[in-house]
Amino acid sequence: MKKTAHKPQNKRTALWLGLGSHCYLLLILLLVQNLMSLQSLDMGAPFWGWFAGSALSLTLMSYASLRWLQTIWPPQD
Amino acid sequence: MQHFVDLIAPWYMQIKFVHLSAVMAWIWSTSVAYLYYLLPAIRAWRRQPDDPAALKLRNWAMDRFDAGAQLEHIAFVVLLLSGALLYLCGGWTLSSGWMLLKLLIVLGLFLPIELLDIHLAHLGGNKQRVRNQQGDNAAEQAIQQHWKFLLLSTPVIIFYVSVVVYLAVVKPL
Repeated sequence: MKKTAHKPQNKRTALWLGLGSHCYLLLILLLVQNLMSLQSLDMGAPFWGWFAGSALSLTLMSYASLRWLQTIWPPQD
Repeated sequence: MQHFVDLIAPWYMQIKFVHLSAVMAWIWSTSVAYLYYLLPAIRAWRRQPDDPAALKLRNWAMDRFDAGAQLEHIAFVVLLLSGALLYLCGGWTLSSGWMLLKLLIVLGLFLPIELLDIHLAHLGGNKQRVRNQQGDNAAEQAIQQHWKFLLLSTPVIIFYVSVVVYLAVVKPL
């Protein structure tokens, strides 16, 4: 079986999934809050702490998942 | 609108029951098929890509997975509709941080992912339909496209489902 576990694109893809999805949601959050004049969330230090921790967790989880699942990626890849 | 809200308001807890049932079905309905049927079939084919039996098994598992995803997608529609009813008759607003984040994830992330999944499983990307209409090569491409989608969306879905359930149950913000 061709192993693809250590391909550098695994890291890039995981970073895109983890950080990209968080930045995408943050962008919509800011848009919605501004458009609707909402002050639902206090964007102080705790918020950014949770944001960074959550983005890092998803990035690591995606990387682990890709490393495992790409070992069964189709051979044409 | 207010008349409609007054009409459904007494049924809030019953709607919540439907909503929670749909959420559970949406989250778990494809997990056994994915982990114990689709993955082993793809893994077996990956080990022996030239084996016609392994290829046949993989195609069968993918076709069945497409069909089984109907449960997930019906549950998703039910959870969206019941969620909208709960929002209306529960007096919820976006001034609650947890509700804002939850709706953001459901509508901004889950909805587009599920729409793409519905296309891949039941509409233009349905493997059985592609095989019948365009032949084996097109079906092979459709399978690889769907597998790539599953590969990328699975960790994202698992992670954000946990976040949404946490937000809904604990209401931390």
